[in-house]
Amino acid sequence: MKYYQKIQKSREENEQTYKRIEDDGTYRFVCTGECPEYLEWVAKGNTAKEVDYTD
Amino acid sequence: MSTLKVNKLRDTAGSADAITLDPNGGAVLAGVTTVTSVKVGAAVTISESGIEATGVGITCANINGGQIGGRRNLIINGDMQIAQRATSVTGSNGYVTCDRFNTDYGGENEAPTYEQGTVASGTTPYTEGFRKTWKVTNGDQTSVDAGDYIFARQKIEAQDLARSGWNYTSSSSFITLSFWVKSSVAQTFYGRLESVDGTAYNYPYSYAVSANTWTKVVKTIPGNSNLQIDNNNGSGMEFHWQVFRGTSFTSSDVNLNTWATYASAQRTPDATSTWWETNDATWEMTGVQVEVGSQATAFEHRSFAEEKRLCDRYYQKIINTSNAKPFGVGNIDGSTQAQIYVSLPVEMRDTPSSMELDVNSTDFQMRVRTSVTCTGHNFFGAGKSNVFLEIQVSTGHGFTDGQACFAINNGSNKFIAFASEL
Repeated sequence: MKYYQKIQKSREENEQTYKRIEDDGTYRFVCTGECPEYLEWVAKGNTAKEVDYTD
Repeated sequence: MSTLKVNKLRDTAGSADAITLDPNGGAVLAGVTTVTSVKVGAAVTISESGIEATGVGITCANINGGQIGGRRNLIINGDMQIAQRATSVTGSNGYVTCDRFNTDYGGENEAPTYEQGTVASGTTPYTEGFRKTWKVTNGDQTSVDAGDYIFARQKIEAQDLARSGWNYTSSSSFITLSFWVKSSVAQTFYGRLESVDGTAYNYPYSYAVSANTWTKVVKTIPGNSNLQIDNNNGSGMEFHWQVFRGTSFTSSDVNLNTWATYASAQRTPDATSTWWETNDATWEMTGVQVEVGSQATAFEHRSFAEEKRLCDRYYQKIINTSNAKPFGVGNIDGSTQAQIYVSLPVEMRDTPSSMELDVNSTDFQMRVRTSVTCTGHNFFGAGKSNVFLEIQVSTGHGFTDGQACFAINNGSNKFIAFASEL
C-alpha cells in the first residue's frame, strides 16, 4: 500500500516535504504539502508517517 | 418604357402588403420565405449552400456572440496529444497519463487502467484530426458499493477563466463545453462543473451514449450570480467527467443543467452502475473544448510544440533520451557535494509542489574537467523558473571547493520531473 512519509528537513529547508513510498518499498516521488496527489491522499483520511531517522 | 407608380403591392387574395416601396428607392419585402439565391452586387451570393463572397471579406462584430479567432479553447491538451508521465498506468491515481487530466478512483475490487488511447482511422474524431484519447479500462468490480467512484477532470487556472471574457456572474453569458466520448457500455453518464473560489457551486449535466460509438457532446453553461473566480494562479473551475459514482456522492433530487451550492452527497443524480459492473469496460474521450459563447465551434487544434509548452507550465520532465544529458550548472560546495541550479525552460504556475525521480544517484555525474559519478542527491529549493539540487560525491574526487561544474544525467531514459499542478 502506497503511503507518504515525512522527510527530515535540511538546514536550508523551512517547508516539510514528503516522499511517497511505493508498494515495493522504494520511492521516487517527493512533494510538498501543496501537492494535489498528497492532498487527495490526506483527504481520504490518511496521515503521513513520521521521519525515518535511520535513512 | 413606362413607369408604374404605386406605393404598395398586395396579392388579390392577400390581407397584408407583400412589397412596400420606399420613395427614396428600394423596397421592403414582407413574407418572402424562399428564394434559390440572392446576389449582392457581382461578388456576393447567398444561396442554400451558404454565403460566397468572392474577392471581398465579411466583416462582423462577432460570431455566435463570442470571440472570432485566436485562442478559444480554455482546456489544455484537449486532444490528448501530450502524455509526458506515461501512456499506460494501472494502480495509480492523480496526474498519470495525458497531461492536465487528473483522475481518481476508490472502492475498487480491481484497479482500472488509464491509457493515452488511440483514435481509430475512419472514425469521425479521426477525420477531424484527433489521434489520441484519454482512456480508462475498468477492472473486475465484483460489488457495487455506495463509496465507489472513478472520474477524470481538468482544473482550469482561475486567472485564465476570470479574464476569458465569460461574464460568469451573468445568467445570460455562456461558456460551451464540447467533447467526443465513446464507451463500450451504452448508458447515461454524468459530468459536472465545480467552482472553487468562495462558496463552491456545482453544475451537473448528463449525456447518453450507445455502445462503442463515438458521440459528440455539447453543453452550453450559463453564468450564475453566486460564482466567484479569482484572478490568480489557483484553480478556478473543475470540469469533471464522472464515469461512475456510488450513492454516497449522488442524490435522486439533484437537478441537471443548473447551478447549485456544492454538496458532496449531491454531485449528480444517482448513476447507473452498468459500466462500473462490467469487467474491462472502456470509456474514452477526446476533443475537449471549453469556449466562451453559447455555441460550440470547431475544435481549436494547436501544434504539438504549442500544446507542450502549455502543459509545461504544470509539469516538466528532464529526460535523458540520448547518452548523457547535461541538466544544470553550479559549483563544488565543500568536499562532498555540489549545488546545482536547474533552469526550467517554461516558468511554472507556481513553485513545484512535487519532484519525481527516475534516477539513481549513480546515474548522475558531476563534471569539472573530468566527470565523477555521484553518490547521493537531494532536492532542496525551487522557484517558478528554477530548481536547486544538492548532489553528493565521494571525497577524493579531486575537485576544489568553489569550482564551477555542471551536472549530467547519464542514465538512459532516466528523468527528473517537476510538477506544479492544480
